[in-house]
Amino acid sequence: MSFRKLRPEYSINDFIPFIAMIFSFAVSYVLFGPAIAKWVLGGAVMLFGLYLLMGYFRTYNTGYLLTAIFNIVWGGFAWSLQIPFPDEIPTLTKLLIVLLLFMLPVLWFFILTKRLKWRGREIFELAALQVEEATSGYTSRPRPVGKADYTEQDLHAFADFLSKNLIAIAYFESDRVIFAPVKNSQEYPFLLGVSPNLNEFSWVAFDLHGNVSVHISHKDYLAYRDELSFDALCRSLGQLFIEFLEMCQRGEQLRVNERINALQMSIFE
Amino acid sequence: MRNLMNTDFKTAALLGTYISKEYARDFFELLVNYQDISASEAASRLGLHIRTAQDFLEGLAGLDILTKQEVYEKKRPYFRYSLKTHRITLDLDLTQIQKARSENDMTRCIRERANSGANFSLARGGEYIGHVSFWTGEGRDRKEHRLSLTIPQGKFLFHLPFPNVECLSVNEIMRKANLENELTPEILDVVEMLAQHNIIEMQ
Repeated sequence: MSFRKLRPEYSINDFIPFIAMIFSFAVSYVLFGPAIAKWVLGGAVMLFGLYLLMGYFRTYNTGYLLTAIFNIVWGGFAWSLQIPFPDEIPTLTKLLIVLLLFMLPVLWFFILTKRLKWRGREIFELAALQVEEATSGYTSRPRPVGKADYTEQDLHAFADFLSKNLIAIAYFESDRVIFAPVKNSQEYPFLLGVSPNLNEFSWVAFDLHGNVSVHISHKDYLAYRDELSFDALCRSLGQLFIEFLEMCQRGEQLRVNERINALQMSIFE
Repeated sequence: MRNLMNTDFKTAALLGTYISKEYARDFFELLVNYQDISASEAASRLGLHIRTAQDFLEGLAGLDILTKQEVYEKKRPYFRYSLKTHRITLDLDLTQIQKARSENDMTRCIRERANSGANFSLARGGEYIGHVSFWTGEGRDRKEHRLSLTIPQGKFLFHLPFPNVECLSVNEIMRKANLENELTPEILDVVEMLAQHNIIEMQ
């Protein structure tokens, strides 16, 4: 995908929970046998389900709710297994299997239609579309990108839209709202509610007087293949968010998703 | 009245040093009550070392507060000191240390220098820069400096052009940051300071 301005990112972050589950299951199986191992596995899966539930309450994204329920049911299924396996499968286990089989295709639908994908990479790619190469001008300072016309209610609605569509996470401060575009596999600290260090992630801030400012983290800037004009990149990211906000104000949220989807990034990018 | 009119800062600091001595009040009490006094007489009266008394008296004589007269006891010369005045007024004109500014300072184009290594941290609220951290020195002498900014300085730096983009004059940046003209001295001060440390480049 050489036409992308961002470097490809290969991260195993998404697989860490599964690796942890399998590892804890394997260790407990070897040490304590299958009867204990099923409780460990069920517990680990349920724990992950609870994390996803936290994600749902942070974003109100339906995909998060679905995966949370799926994991909790899966954990319940592991706990309901009887060891050694009986000739007759218990009714509860049967019920949980049916539930899992029913939810699995829905879950895949959500995954394949990118409803569970954080769109930060698309945002950075969109911001860089019109930006030319230049000698590195990186600075840790935020850049004021101009003024926009909005109310506090508009910002709240915009924040709901961005988090629900996994585009950005909003942080509310006393007189401004900060939107942090979140890349796939990098959502963990944002969902766990870790207190953010404003210098370490990229954000677009809208204050209550209509001023918009942008900060791009060094890590996100280095994620581009070429040295882009940093000033233009900040301006472009700010303008992109202002455009998105205006679309939301006009009730054209669909257009935001259309612009992001027009990049045709795969679910793995 | 001894008026240290147009006293420079160094002289004022020297006078301050003498006045702040623990024994200064007692010393002045002697000086104001005696017609004149020698260092050994003052030292024995106040319980000080003769050298301490001599330094104090010499210092005040150097500031033209005391008159110093050489007298002889048999053939041995020594000094007697007397107050020139019973009132000392310190008048320090601070405009003397105010930096002179020209119109050129305001029209000079500036921007952040690329790869300056400085770290700008936002103040709470995010509308201006709270402090700038930068490193100076080499090797083991390398030290981090943290420069806390006033709110106007922070607002000014918030609007400073990024590296490698078109620079702006100090005037223009102040206008962008909505800063009053009276704030110019403190703005120019931080600009000069950051320029000295190669964080801001001037054209």
